[in-house]
Amino acid sequence: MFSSLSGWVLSIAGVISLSVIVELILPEGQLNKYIRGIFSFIIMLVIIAPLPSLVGKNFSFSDISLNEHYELQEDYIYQMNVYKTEALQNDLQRQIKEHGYENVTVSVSSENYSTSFNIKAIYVELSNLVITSEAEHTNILDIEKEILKIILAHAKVDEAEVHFER
Amino acid sequence: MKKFFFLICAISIVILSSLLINESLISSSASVCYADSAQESVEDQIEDSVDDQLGDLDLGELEDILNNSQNANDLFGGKSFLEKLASIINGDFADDSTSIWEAILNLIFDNLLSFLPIIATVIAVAILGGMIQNLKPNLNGKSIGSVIHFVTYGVVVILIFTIILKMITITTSTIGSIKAQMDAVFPILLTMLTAVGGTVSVSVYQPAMALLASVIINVFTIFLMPLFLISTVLSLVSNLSNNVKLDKFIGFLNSLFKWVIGLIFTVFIGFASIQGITAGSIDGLSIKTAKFAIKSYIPIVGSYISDGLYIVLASSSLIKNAVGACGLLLLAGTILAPILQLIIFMLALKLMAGIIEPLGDGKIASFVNTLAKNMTMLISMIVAVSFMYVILTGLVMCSANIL
Repeated sequence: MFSSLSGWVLSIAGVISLSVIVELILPEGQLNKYIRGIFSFIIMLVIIAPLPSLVGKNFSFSDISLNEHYELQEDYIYQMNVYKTEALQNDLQRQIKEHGYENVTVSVSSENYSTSFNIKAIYVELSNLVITSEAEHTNILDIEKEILKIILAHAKVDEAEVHFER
Repeated sequence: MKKFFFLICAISIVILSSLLINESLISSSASVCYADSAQESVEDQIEDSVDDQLGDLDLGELEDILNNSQNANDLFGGKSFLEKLASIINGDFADDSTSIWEAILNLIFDNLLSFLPIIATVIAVAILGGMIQNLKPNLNGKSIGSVIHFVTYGVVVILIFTIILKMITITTSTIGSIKAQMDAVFPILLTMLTAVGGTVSVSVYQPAMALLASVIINVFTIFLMPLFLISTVLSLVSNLSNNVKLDKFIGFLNSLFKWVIGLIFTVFIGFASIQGITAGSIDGLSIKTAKFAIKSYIPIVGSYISDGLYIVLASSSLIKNAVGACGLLLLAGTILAPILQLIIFMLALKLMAGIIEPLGDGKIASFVNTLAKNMTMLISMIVAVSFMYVILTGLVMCSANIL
């Protein structure tokens, strides 16, 4: 594209320079104005010469697009998902502790390799459970129910994906 | 008209970048002035989280670009990209605005001095030509007059074109380095946007960024740049003699340039901002409500800000905005010198035309004046590319903000 363009421009410039030089060299006379007319005609022809080839030519978008695609930094997103998982685990454990159930271990399993942060499942271990005086329930089933409620209020996860281990 | 367009662009770049910089400042200071009691600990936690995340981010490409550019290095105050990022997040931003003005003033005077010999030579040649024209013997005058004009014109053209070629190289290399910066900054911004949870925004900005960095830059270099060259060459030949005039054709090329650049600009900015703002609000909603891991948050400020997850997200969004701000600073460092150079050269050409016109040849004056008009093409090319870059970065900075 560029080479044909520069050829076009050079030919315009060349013809004009030629006409100017000829005009300089030619002596005054009758013939002068005819030569001038011929040269203006040639200049016009040179200018419009590439236009017919433009008609009917298909310009495709792919000629100018490089199909560039920006890759995300996967390592960083993975690391962020790990941070988020850890933070969520700590949040949940803190929330449960504030309700009076100590030594509950919550582990969140999430899809760390995907770009969006999705929780797959949450495992709650109750084997070391210590029930303090602030606790509402003492029955293990009621405790599970309350912990489930806390988790569901805090994290977006299906009820079926919360597993308890006693 | 084009000058007006350029002026508006330049002013809005300055205003927009200062606004964005302010916003990132505000959001960074807003994050630390929430609850009174928990303030210290939250601040510390966010700082820790930011440090952790900055350690994981790969900024190698940007550091390379920064190291290779002297002006950008000056603007960054000798800091590395990571250090500047950290200082922006901490809120100490405008530490040395006087040094920026000093750098601009130095650039202006340096350029003025470097153009002075050429200006003087061109004016001297034109005056000499005019004097010889007046002193020539009257017999057979027309032809000799034309030859004198031809020679004077040739010398002026050679002198001015040495600088114009330099300006063309500067413009192409500036656009090239803007593209290199886009290639370095955009992946990081997209990564940060993903980390914050702006999945819809990412799906909008990813193609928009690719479009800007490949297609639009390509159109600029393979279509608009040749247009400038053609128009310059034609303005050269059109002033060779009185008989062949190509002014209208040059006018056509100029308005073609203006319309193409305006169309690209408007369509791109329009689509990017409308889609981006919509996607950003969708993301904002989904982050705030159910879609993102947190189902419901307790609307007590102190409580939810102290949530560990929110601290991770808030630090990510701080880093995202700081990366955007640093990218804009890098851009400013890259385009400041070329744009000043081009503007000063354009003004010098105008001055030359003004001085030559009463003394010497009218045709040389009109040639120099046309060149001065054409220089605005180069300026508007750089300005348009950087403006689109600024807008896109600004949109990313504004979308999917947590706080």
